[in-house]
Amino acid sequence: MGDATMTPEDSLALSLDTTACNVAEAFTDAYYNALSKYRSTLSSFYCPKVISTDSTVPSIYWNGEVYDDDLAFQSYIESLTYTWADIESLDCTVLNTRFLPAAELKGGSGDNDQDLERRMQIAVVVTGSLRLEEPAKGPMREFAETFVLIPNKDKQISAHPQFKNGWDREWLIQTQNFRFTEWGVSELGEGQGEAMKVDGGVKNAFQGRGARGGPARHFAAAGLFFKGKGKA
Amino acid sequence: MPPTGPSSRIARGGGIQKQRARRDRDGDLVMGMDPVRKGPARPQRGRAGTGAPNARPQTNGSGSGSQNNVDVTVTGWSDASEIEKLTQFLERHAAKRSTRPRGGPNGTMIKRSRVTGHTLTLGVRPEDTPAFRKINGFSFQSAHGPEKLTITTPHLSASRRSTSPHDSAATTSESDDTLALLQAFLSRRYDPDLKLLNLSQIADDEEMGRLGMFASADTTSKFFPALMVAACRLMKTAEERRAHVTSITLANNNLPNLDNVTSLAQTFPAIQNLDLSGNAFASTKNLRNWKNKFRSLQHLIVSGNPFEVAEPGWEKEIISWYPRLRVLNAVEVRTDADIARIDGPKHTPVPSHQNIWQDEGAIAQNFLLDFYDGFDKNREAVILKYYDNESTFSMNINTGAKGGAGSQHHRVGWDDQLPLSRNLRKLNHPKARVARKYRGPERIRQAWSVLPPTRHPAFDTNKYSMDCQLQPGVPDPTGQHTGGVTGLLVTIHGEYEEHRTAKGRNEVVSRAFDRTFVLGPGGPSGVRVVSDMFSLRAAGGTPAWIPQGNTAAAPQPAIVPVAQPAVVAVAGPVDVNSLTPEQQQLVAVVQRETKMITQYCIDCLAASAWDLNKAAAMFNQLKDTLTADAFIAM
Repeated sequence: MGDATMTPEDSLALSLDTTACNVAEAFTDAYYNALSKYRSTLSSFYCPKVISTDSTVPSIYWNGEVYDDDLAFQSYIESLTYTWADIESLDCTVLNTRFLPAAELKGGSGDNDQDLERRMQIAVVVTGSLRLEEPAKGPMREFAETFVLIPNKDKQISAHPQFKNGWDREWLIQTQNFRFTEWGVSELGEGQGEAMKVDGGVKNAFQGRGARGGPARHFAAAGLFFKGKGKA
Repeated sequence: MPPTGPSSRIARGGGIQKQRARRDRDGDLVMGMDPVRKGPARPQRGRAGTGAPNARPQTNGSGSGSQNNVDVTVTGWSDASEIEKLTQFLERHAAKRSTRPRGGPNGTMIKRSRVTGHTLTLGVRPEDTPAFRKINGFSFQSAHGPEKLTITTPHLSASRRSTSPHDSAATTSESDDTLALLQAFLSRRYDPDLKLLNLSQIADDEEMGRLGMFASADTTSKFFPALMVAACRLMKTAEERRAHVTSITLANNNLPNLDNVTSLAQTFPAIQNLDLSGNAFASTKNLRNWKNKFRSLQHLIVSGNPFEVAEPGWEKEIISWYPRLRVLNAVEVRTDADIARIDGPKHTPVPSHQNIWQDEGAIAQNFLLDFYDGFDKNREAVILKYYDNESTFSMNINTGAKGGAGSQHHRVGWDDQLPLSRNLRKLNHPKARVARKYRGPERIRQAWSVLPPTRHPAFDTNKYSMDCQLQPGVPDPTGQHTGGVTGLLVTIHGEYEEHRTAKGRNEVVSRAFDRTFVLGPGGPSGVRVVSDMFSLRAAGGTPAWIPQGNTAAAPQPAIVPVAQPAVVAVAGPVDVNSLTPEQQQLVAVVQRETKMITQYCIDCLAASAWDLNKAAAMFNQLKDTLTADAFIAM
């Protein structure tokens, strides 16, 4: 990866980013394939459940619902109609280069400043379309999804993972957030799509800020004061 | 080899070799007829690529001496008086296909011959059997016309069994004998009450041991496929096997992997209970041949295998392979309700309009309010307040969103923003990718200077979808906590307006966005942006978090407030500013009386044809069904 004209910092950044991108691509390919075709394998994409004093992982938020763990989520997905995701945009970033303590890395050097490619926590963002119900004709919504992935400490990960043979649980989902972002056109009533365009349009978007009682009120209006709404 | 039958042997020469190899892989019965290990002692001459299995050097030297002739049987001829002519015919054609030099010290290929009924039995050297195999199916020109010959070459076990008294019986029935023994074995091991096939500790079975089933790796690998063939003879249809065998145990067989037994999944795909305990599986990898097989499996026992200790967390992978697995090693892993959900009718998820906001101390809330105000008005202040040397920013543009409004989106050029896009689906080169990852205030400032001025709408119910969840393991700038501290993952979706001046324009356009912030403690405000990832799409679709009438009727009403579908279906969401002054007054009255948020007041009035009394009646009727977010928080 190195280059004579690069500083060591740039060289490391390039190396970490390249691995993170490999992870993001291999992971999303495998995950969305499983979502469509191998739903019974979904739980194997998640990190082991850990309940600590201030948080619980994996943290799974999907379409405004919180799932207790990967198995609960998997059973939910297994109850869904046909879905087919198409990734339209993908990006990733390294969040924490030293997420996995050096001592816990299988086959690592034990040095806290080494093996960062295999110890890092990675955020992945996806936007795409999700076809529902029928392969060609079903409604197609737009969605956005964020994953935070962490290394699988029970697995020996190669120094520069290439994923030539595809995803094999090298990184696991720690945090996930899925949202539908647009209704499929076929799901909208007659003329309703047009009405929404006018409503979300240019003229009125900035009026009313502050006029309804300040920021807290706005958050209240958005339902934000009602914390931790779980499953209905 | 009776199971494949003579009719499948019409191919000649290399063809039959290939055919046999394929049957082997399918796990069909070729027990004791391994052409690979018992191939010729010398490399095959010519025929390269057709007789691939024979090209492999012989690994087993025993039994190849001239004293150890093996029997080749020939049937299909009719007239015993032509035996001499027939023998010459066979000698001639086999010799042409022999791998060793003609003549020589070993002379003819057929060492002896005898006739039993309509079977001619030839004694040949083991290394010559491939040559005879190749002329199987040849036509012999007898005085009575052409006669198609069936030539059966010996079994591996033949030499071992040559001492047994029934050796004089026709060798063609030898596989039948084996199958009969296997069928007897299966019958002994079958419990009709439990519908259990007990295949545990097979190697300890006296009968099987006496037959030499486990004398070598080679015969062992053939045993199980043969056993499955025997099972298929006892229970001919898949339906019978499903009905009669619901449980199988393979316990205590010292299996290191599934290579020898993998055909079980084809023969008994519908079993509900499987016991693999007490074997030698060192890793779940050794079980992967059966991943996603046994779709009805409810109960699996894998205790007493090394991977239980060697691979903590192995349960998760195994559970994922079998969607209907309820009990794993006596632990319940799925409830009846879970299974019912899998097997029940499928439903289409309805986009939720609820936000989930796990944000003690309103950290993320205050951040977002401050951030978007600053991002629109004074980006420099935002950078100084929230971004430090380790903060990263990147954006990606989804230029071809097919979902949602699809082709009806407002297609506006992306202008100078496009070169910032780090869409990994479009951008492949590692250096180009890393160049579009902006780290630290200076580079983020550069990137943001390319983004045109924006205006984000107020935080109103209909404008955004937002979630906030705890995010453990974000970097700790103080370095005190190895492995990181708990931060927040904030995701927000919506539309904003852009003042577009590119290409000589001067217009306001809408953009749809999705943005993910990871926030951690630190920085001058106590909150720092660890990562800021920004996705852009064309605007013009209908935000999914706004309920739609026709889909709200779908069978998932629980997450949509009862009052809303009917109301929205009639009116559609209406902005307060598009109302007449009279209507706005009515909205104010309803809001004062009900404390509902503005949109709900409008919806309620619209559904009541703007009649205050009807609206009041509707509210009183529905108020108990409204969720808390229908009301203004006090």
